Amino acid sequence: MKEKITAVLAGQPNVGKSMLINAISDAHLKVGNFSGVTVDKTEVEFNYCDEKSCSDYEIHIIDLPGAYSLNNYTIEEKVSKEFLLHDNYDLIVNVVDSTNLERNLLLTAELLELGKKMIVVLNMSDEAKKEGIEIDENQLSSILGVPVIKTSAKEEIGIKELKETIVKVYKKPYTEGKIIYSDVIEEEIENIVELLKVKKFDCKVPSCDIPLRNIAIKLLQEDKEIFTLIRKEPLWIELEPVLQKGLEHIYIHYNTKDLEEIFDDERIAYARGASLEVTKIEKKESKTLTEKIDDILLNKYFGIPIFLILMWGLFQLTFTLGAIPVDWIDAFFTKLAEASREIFGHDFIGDLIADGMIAGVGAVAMFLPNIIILFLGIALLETTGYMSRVAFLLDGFFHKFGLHGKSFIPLVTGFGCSVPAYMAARTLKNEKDRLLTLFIIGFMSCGARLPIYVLFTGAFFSQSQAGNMLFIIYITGAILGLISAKVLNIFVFKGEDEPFVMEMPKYRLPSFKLIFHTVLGQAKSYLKKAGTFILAASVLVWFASHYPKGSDLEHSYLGQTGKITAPFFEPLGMDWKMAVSLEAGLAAKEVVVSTLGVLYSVGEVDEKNSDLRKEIRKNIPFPSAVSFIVFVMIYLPCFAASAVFAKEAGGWKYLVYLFVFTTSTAWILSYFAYHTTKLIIGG
Amino acid sequence: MYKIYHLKVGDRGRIKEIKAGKSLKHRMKSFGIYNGVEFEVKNFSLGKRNVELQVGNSLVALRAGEMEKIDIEKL
Repeated sequence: MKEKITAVLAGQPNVGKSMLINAISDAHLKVGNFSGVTVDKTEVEFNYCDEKSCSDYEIHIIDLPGAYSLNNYTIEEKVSKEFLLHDNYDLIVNVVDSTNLERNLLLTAELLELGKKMIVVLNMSDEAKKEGIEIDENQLSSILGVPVIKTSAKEEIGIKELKETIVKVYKKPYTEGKIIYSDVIEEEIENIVELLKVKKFDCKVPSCDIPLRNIAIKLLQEDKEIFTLIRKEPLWIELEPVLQKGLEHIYIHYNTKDLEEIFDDERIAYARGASLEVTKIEKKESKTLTEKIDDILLNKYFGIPIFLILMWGLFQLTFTLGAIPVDWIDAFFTKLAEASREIFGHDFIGDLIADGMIAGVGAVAMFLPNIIILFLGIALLETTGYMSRVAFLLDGFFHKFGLHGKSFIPLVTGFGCSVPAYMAARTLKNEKDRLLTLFIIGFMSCGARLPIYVLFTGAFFSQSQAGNMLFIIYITGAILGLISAKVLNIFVFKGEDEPFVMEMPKYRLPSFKLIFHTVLGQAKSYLKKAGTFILAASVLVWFASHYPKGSDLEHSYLGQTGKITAPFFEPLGMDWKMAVSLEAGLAAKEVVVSTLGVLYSVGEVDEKNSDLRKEIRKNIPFPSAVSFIVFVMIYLPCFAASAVFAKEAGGWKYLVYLFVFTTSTAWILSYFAYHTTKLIIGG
Repeated sequence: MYKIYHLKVGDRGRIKEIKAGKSLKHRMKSFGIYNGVEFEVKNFSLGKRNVELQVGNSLVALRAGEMEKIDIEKL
């Protein structure tokens, strides 16, 4: 029987944890979510082998999200803290950035207070060496009281030793980590421990099944959980006066009653002391590479232009390179649909499979190339450290609208497809920033709306003008989005601004292995989450547009709905055909063009079809067309995106808000657009 | 009172006091920003809306709102 060891990787952001877990075992990487939150959870499981035997131990490693401290400031920190306090695991592997020891040891100090078995990993030791930083790991180990290992995930140094140490530490009984506080606090810890020992205090609940010293520390920190547990014990009568005296002693000494601050300062002193003692720095006069790159990329004048060029490149890549497989996928599914019709015939089953299911799966697959390329770009931006610079450069501008510098990435992604854009909003750690960004992503016209714009601009403008009109449509959408952000910020997401304190990580060359896993994970999560919804929506729309049996589109459920809701669209200058097309567009924006094609009896067509353009010019007055375009620009994104939105925002109720917000805005602006155009052209 | 935005790129300063609530103060501490710490101004964004500071061996970005809450002295 194999013994299972569960280890958690904990550390600050940008210390190379993900790279380390990849280096440990990339073959068995599992990416999921922590329950209830959209925070990635990466796990590996492997058998431990040494020279003598193999597979006596099965090691299970869970990568916790990066946390600067265990203080519930971000979702990531909350998740990490919850896990460390309440889940079952055998030991903590604290990953530390060797080039930034002092700040990293602040978290180490907090982790030592948890009273669990622990290993400290000095990661990126190769980088530290290059920077002239030398750390004495043996001395650090004796200061911290836990094993310390030097590793480099990039160079795969120290990985084997880490695995060995995990097993070694697991087998050995717990030894106390040595976080030493100032004499005053140490004295009071001693007093409490003494009493607990005399009374033979034994706590069976997992959260207090820790050494007495750690219980004493938590009592002095006024940890609510420990208090609730211990107050039920008869021992409390004797403990209370000791604790009270101890706290008073501490208050007098520190001249404050803010225990959090007192312990923060204690940890700072501890981390600083430990770091000074074990680190030797060879002073290098010249600028570091990061400083040199920052001088260019954060330059007041060139910073933003360089960024825009990079972004333009990414989008060119997404849409030119991404379009190639999209065409193949499209062709493949069209062939597949034809083949299935031959097999299943033209009755219910054949139609359901070809038009409902295969078309649905095709639509899911069609998003995939764009998603992969965009996420590849985002992963590159994030792992190289450039993403934080983007936030820095753009924050001044976006903050004016109540957004965050990092909002830029999801918003720009929105021009490609709202589905990955909503997912990309995860890069925003703050709830308010994220929600606000999520709400306005829809204003960035996604790729699927392009065919509608192409059709209409092509119908009403000459080819040379059509391009300009397209540009105006996109820019207007973006501006409307920013204005809406400001409005939402003033009236809905009220309250004080969230602070902006952000690390600017060192520039690093990306690890292709890591990027591969990240992108693969995101693609899979898209297929699983959004995919099922798109498929379901496709079948639903197929059903609504083909039934009752034997009816054409006009008399189908979809057509009937369009006619019922026509009065809603009438003030906007739209007829029932346009209403039906817009409603069909809720399923997927691509459907709008094909629906218009069917309703204007041109048959199954695309946006370049000249017959459809002619029909549109003939049947739709120009003001109505403008109104239609404005509506398309603003109203609810497709089902797939809506489903992802609800997931990312944290509940279906947000989708209701989004529906009300976008529909009312779309209606009001279309109304104005319709009447203004009418006035101008004198129609 | 001297603030970070009074400095120029390349200037050095020392934190004198952080006038912020508990959670922001703690957040700043976990980034190495606390009383007595020395720093260097690395970059400002347009209009000094944001600043990039070198604190210890790490680079930290702040917004004008946070700069306002920190009293400093120029070194």
